[in-house]
Amino acid sequence: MDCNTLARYLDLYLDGELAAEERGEIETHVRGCEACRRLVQGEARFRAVLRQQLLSVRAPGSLHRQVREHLESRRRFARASWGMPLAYAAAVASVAVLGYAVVATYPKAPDPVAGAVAAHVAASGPEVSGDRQQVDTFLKANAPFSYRLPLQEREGLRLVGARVTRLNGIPAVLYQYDAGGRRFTVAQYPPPTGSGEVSPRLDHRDGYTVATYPDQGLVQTLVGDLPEGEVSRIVPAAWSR
Amino acid sequence: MGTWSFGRRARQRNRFEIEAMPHLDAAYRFALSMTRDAVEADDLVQETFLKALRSFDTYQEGTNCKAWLFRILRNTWINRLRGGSREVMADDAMESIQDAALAGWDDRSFYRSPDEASLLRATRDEIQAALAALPPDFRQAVELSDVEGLSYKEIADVMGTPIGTVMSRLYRGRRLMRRRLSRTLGIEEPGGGVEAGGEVVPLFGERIAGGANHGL
Repeated sequence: MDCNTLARYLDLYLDGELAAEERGEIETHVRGCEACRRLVQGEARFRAVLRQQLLSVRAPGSLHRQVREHLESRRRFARASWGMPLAYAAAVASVAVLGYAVVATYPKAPDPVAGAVAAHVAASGPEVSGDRQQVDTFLKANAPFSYRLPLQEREGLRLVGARVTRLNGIPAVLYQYDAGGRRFTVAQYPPPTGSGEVSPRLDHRDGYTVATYPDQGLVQTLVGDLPEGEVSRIVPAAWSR
Repeated sequence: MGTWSFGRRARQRNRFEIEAMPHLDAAYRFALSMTRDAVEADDLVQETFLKALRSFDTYQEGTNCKAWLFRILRNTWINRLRGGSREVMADDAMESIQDAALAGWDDRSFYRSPDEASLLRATRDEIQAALAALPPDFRQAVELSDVEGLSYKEIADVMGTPIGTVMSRLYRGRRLMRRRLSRTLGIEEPGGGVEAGGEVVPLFGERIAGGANHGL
């Protein structure tokens, strides 16, 4: 370890990103080298100052109160729901236990929904950009299964692009839509084998609203930063049970 | 969602209270850094916590909840930018300019003797101004690491970039920030590359009209 190497590893060292052995080498060098000791200590002290100064920025009390009030109102709602008849509650509880048991016993099936969320977040850009017709032409040549354009376009809802991909091993088409300036993704794929009948469900994953529903032999997963109400307007099919 | 899930929901709220709520101040700091506006930051944090509460069953226990909240917050903000079709600048495309701004830089220049460690007397306002002058992606990386204590991996997850990108943003961001601060405090050595870098700050506007779009 010489002074130049130390300078290169300075950030990694202070960020705690080095393995014990490398850390040891740095510390040995620093013990014997006045200049490097000054560098490491100076930088460490400056970071402490920066951290201390900026940590004093706090959320206003009103924000703490608002978020807490929201949490409380949801909690009251959850508690009130326990007021159901006991026998019913017991039956419900046994179903819940059964549900957990099934989840625990079977090996994890491939999860295209998680893949769809990841694809939406990555926003890696469509292979084809354009209107309905252009997307259709592209997919006729490239889709790995017999696809169908998933949503009926209307005022304020446009298809703007698509790409062919795999979601955790399952072939899929990702459609990109624009709803009044907001982009969302619809992933379309054949039902994963062994998944049984897919029933419509509305989820929230990592902050996104996610709707999964069957549509004429295929499954569609919509992912977007959209309120539930808007999702239900866009895909009423997901709620027709 | 079936009625049976209510017990689970109540438990989830308690967990949320314990794991997520303590990060409200940190979320606000991060929101403020991204939006540069107290009202917008307030709103962004509220939306983030609502979403986080609804999505809490996708949070993996044992991982850093603060990093998870930050990811939701940042994605929400980017969605808002996209929605308002505001330009997002491709910070990394500015590398050559940043490197010019760092020309002649030496980490050791501040810490040569004890009285030169005068970066230490920087006030909160001065530190914030120096950070504010950084390109947004660099500023976020620096704050997530130096203020919030996230690991490189966690920062990469929050920002949706490879770890290598995080490291280069941290390296450049930290040094650009220290150089600016040293000028503010009047401690940069003469000939320390100030001329070479020129005044870089105006180049790093938050959004530059016609600037490259990340493809976000």
